[in-house]
Amino acid sequence: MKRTNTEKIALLGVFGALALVLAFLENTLLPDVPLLPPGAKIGLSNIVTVLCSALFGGGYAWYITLLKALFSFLTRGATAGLMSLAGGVLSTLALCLLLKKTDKTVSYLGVGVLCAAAHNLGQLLMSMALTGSLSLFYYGKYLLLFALFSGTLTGLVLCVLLPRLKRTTRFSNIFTKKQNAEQENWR
Amino acid sequence: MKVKKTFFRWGDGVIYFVLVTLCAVLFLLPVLQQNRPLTAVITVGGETVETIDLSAVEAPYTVQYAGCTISVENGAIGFSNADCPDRLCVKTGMLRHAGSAAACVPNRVVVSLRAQTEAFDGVAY
Amino acid sequence: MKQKTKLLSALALLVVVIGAVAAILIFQKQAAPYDLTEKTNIAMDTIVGVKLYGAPSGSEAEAAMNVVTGLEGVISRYKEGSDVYRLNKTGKCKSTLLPVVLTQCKAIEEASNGKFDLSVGAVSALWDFDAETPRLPDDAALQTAKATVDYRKIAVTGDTVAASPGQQLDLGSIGKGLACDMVKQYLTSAGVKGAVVSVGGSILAFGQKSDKKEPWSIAIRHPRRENAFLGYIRLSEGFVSTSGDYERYFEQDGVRYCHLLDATTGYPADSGLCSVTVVCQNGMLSDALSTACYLLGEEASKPLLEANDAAAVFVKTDGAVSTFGDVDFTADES
Repeated sequence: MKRTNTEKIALLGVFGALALVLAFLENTLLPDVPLLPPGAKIGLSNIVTVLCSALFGGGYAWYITLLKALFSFLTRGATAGLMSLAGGVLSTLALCLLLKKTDKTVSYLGVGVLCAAAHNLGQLLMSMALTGSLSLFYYGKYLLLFALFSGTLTGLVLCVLLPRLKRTTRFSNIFTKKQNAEQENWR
Repeated sequence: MKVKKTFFRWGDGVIYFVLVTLCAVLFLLPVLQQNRPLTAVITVGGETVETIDLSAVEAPYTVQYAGCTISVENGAIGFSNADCPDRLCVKTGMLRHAGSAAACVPNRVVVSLRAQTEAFDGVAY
Repeated sequence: MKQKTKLLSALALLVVVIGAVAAILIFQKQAAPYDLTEKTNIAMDTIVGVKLYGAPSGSEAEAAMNVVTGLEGVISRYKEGSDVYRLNKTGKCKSTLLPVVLTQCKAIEEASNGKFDLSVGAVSALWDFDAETPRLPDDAALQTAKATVDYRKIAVTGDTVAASPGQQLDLGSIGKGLACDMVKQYLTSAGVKGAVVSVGGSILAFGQKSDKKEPWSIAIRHPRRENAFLGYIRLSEGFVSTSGDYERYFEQDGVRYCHLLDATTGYPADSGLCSVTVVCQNGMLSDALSTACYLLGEEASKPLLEANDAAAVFVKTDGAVSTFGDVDFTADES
């Protein structure tokens, strides 16, 4: 007996807003870190994306991703929108790939790192495509290094958060029976 | 009810290993590129104002001389903008081969490439 | 077992001996290069590069550059006060250089049946290849201008040159090679051991770059592929000039119009070639011949080249490369 879609939509809306707020905070509070490459963010909003897919199912992360890209496009222009989209798409793809494996093979630490790396890669590829310059690839290694750190950070947050979130009844009611079974592993 | 230790699994190890190795490789790569050394020389009015080792350039950047904007990247250099009327210098595009050159004649700026191990003494064109 | 070790050590000894011999041979081959002084600048509206080997003091490169700028002051049609400028403006001028140049080029102008003509100035002025959007000049204007073109109407008496009314001299097709001649004169007197000088792509290869006599290698730019070479020419000393349809041109309605004008038609030549490189022992000749050969086409060029003791590398528009005469040319295989 599934809950109505309204609750899902409402919850997604909240998560979406949370993602946007985190992204905004990230950009305003910490843009002047002397790290060189453009687009090197800690990726706090990525936590929300992963949360979404872990709690509701893989597909739902896409809503967050698209919302973020749309928001970037509307507030910061086409380039920012495209960059956010590119990073988000690759990151969410990586997320969907790993999601099925999270019970046995991989913890959310690895998910965080891979998604961060994928996000940066997507943005790098998009910036190369937009400028038509292949030599931007040289930023790649710095982005990757940074992704390793930021991804670990977000991954740790996820590792701590998720088990506790999954245990609360608020979310458990939205799951289908299959996901309820997965939840058992976290206890 | 103890929460299962969820921090690190073997899949994580794989991901970290692959990414760290990739990172290391990318950092070491430019060092291996020394087989095609290329020096660019920028002259203004006949005087050499800058010499750039293009094989050591990592991230692209631009320099300004006498109204011309010159783009520098790994293995290539060229005029990206100039305030001269015909802009032939910009139309020449990026230079990649030893012996090639581009010039903004009105501004008297010349960008030329010479290889450290020169294959040719000169180029006829 | 003993047999094996004996064999192995013999083999090892052989390798060491061969290695030593090879090392000695390689070491021997290394020549001691002379000191290099370089200078790059803009003169005659193009890039001039001077590479001197074994220059006695540090100032020869600058002086060589000045020779080129000095020449510009004599043969530029745009510089007020130059010999050519005065001739074009007044129809007459006294000059030490022009009589020599015009007399020497007359033979080529004759041999080319007027396709190569130094008085093509009125026509070449109508073609603006450096404009933002170059266009075909008006045909009527071209015909009027073409009427002034005739090398036979230029009279040289002593140090005076006289042209018929409206005639305009354009030495653009020989200026760079001529500059190379003058630089060579200077370098010989200055005691420089070796040099490679490039005046807008016309090359002077002079002397030696080390105490070992080895030929210079001069690459030829590929007429169609950017940043690529057709091949290279090896020569001990001499002049190399290239004329090609890729240097200055524009395309209109799918047709390419290049700066190499046939003086008899007023339009760019259509001889089936896209590039000609001429090697000979005189700079001005190499420049003039490269233009003339481009205008004449491959077959008609051959007698002209022979008469001037020159060799050439032809590239047809279909990409076929051929050589004529005594030139050591190696095509680039890539």
